Amino acid sequence: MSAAPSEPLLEIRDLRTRFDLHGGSIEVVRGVDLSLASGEVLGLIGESGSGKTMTGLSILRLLPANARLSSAVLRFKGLDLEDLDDRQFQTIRGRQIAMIFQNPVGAFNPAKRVYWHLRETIRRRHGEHAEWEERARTALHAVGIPRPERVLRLYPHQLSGGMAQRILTAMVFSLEPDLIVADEPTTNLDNIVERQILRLFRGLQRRSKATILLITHDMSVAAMLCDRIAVMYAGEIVEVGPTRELFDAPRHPYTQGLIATATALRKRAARLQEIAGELPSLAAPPPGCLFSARCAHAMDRCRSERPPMFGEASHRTRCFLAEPP
Amino acid sequence: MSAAPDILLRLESLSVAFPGVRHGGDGRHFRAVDDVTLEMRAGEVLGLVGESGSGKTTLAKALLRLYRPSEGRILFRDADLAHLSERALRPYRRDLQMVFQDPLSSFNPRQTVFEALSVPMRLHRICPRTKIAREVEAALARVGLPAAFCDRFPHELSGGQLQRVAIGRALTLSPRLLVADEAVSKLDVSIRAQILNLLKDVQEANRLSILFITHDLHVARYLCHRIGVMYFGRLVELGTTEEIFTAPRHPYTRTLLGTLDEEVADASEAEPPAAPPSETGCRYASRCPHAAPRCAEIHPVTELVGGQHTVACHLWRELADA
Amino acid sequence: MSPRRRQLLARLAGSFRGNLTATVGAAITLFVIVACSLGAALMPYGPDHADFLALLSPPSLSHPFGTDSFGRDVLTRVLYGARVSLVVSAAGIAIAAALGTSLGMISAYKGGGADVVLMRFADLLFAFPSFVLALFLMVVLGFGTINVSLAIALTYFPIFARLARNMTLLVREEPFVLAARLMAEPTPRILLREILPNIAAPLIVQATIGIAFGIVIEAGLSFIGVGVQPPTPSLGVIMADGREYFQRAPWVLTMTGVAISCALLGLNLFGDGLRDLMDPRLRQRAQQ
Repeated sequence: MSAAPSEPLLEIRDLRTRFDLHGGSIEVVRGVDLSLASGEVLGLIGESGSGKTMTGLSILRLLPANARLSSAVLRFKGLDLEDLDDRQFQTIRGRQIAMIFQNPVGAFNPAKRVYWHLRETIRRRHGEHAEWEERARTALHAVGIPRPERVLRLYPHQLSGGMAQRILTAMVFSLEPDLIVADEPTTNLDNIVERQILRLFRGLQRRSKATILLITHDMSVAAMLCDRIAVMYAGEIVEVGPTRELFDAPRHPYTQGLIATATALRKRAARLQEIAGELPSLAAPPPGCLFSARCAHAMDRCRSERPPMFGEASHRTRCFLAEPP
Repeated sequence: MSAAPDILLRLESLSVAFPGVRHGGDGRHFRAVDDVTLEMRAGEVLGLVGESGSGKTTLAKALLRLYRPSEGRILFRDADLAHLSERALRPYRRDLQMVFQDPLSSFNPRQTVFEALSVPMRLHRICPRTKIAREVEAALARVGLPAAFCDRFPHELSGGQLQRVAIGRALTLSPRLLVADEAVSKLDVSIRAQILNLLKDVQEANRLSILFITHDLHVARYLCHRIGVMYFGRLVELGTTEEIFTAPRHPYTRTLLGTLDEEVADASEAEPPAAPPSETGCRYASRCPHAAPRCAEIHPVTELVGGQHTVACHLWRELADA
Repeated sequence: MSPRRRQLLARLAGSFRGNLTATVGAAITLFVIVACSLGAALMPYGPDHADFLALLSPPSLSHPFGTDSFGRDVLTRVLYGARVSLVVSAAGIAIAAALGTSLGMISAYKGGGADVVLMRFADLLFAFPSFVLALFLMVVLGFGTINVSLAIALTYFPIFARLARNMTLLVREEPFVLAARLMAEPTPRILLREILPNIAAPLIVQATIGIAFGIVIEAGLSFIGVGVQPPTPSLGVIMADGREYFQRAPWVLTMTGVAISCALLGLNLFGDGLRDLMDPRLRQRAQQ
């Protein structure tokens, strides 16, 4: 069953994920709202501890045993994901929702050659008797591997990081999934290879109109690939808007800080702008805005009251500075 | 030994070979670092840039004698450190320190921050026992951390905080040279700025020399006075930051710089070869779009371009005019 | 409370809460230890107290495990014997651990010729089935309690050596060890303070399992008469007695066997539980 064209492909409202530990519980995702339209690339930006990876894992039901998830809405193609039991969810994950993770070599079965992986993926999409060899070759060509015969016979440990990520990309795109969740897909790669993979992604996405949720801490990566960007801090979304608008006129001080740092290096500033301080403790969060302790513009109100989202539907931010007068 | 008075360290024809890994063809051992000659001056930040596999980390570890170089000399303070015994090296150890890429694994998980900082102080008798606690607090303050961190264990600190402690630990011995091996690569972007600023401040305050290893050219540009580019164990270009960025001469350097620009085409950027390229000739020849037959046969000699700028390429003059 | 103690207690408390195996194993082991140290003293009879009026009597209220051919209370003898077996085994394993760990660590850290020699020697010892090796050693060293410990030590030492060596090879390359070398930390200090604490966990697990192994070896050696010599009671000695009268009085052999099984169960469960605790915990913590 597919969603009506105006309905978002993925809709999430008030997603909360917490870990139950011996001492109590820590909420690492605090009421996240996201929606992805079909064919869109949404970037989820945040640093370590922002909760961005946990958000991705929550959607994919890949959380560890002591995690608890709750959401007001968690809908994929109009289907309520929370209603599905694990077996039903398994049929969706890995077929309609595909994942690309940070460690490419680790995503492979080390005992099987590359061709086995591609064959399994293609069969999953096109059935047991598919012409997998031809499709595999085409897929590898599409990711810039000109002579796939040699690569097909390799074992995963013989692949370099960049090569592995290309093959994974080939596998994911040949699955023709409705949604791709990519978590830091280029973080471990060297700059040259990273740029190549990113350009590859962009080309493939434009051609196939795949929907991608890109999770990363690197603003420049997001700038290259994403139509819209959501910035996370300490488990909350603090700003979400179209990429261009966000970069030209960021509204949340944290977003401003991130962009300033990312571009300062490019601009050869005499001194890099810092965002002083550290993340607040999620076990005992401060009252008021979670960013207030590090914010240069913090008002008294910020320290005692939690700001809601302000702004238009397309560009919102969780900051009192954006409150309409 | 050294002509100019402010040369701190000089590597001469340094090579590091690993036994057991051989080149196809002539059967020699694989050289992770091949015939590198480099000088470091007092008070300068020298960047060493290259992809993974370029040998930059191996070079740094060989310089610090964590590996034993197979050939060449390491000239430091009127001695050649390359082939000294561990005991003979001891007096020089204080001067050469390192900050590692992964802050968490650079600390003994069973030791508190206090112990990690006080061990070098006690080993080298930096101060009398009674003053150690105060010295440790001072060391933490120097890197912007509160004294309360003394009792914490490494896993209780964030990456950025730990890297500060790592820098503080390296500084307790008042070294002359600090090697920073991808010291900010594993940190979040906003924390990176803090650490880079800290390194800059520390470097200027103490007239410290830093060998800054990175694969990120932006970071190198911000911090370094001079930059060396390495490819598969060889130093292919060296010059001031200005020279490298405004007039790069080696095709590989140009490719690296090209990645800074979003719109570069894919043409020359094949994957780095999985196996090391042949011994003879320029190691970049198999990937270089300008390669001439000469390039694969004869190893290019390092030539002076001008000022402090050197390059190892047969065709740099022709390419420069293009 | 010092930070280290705080950390240790926190880890200990947290670990047992989640891990049934370790808790049960620890409980059984603790019970066995307490039983044979205190219980032996609390029993009304001594191990050599012979009641000629109750030879080979079956288990009863006054003699829960029955009596043997000399009228000695079997339960008392088992408790004393278990103490002897435990001590002999623990001593042997302690020697094996100390010797094997130090040699393994040094050989891994230094590398080269010494490493090769040690490993080939360990391989040589491994080639023999443990009991056969232990038996051979008893013939060479002579029978007796102390030599049983030595035999256990020599039989088990290659396991510690190999384990310590392999762990050290891994830890040796960690940045914090490199940092220690850069500080000119003397090698003995690096081995003791940097490496050993970080490889201790699997060694401790191995030790608990080793003690179980040692008990079996001791029981076997004493059973055939080349280990602990009577009249000193040990589990093997008692079993040797019991074997003779098995037809008439199966309880001697049986109850002793049960006692050994209990001890082994406790130790092995404890060791398994410890192993589960040590590794994934580190990974879990890293996730948090």
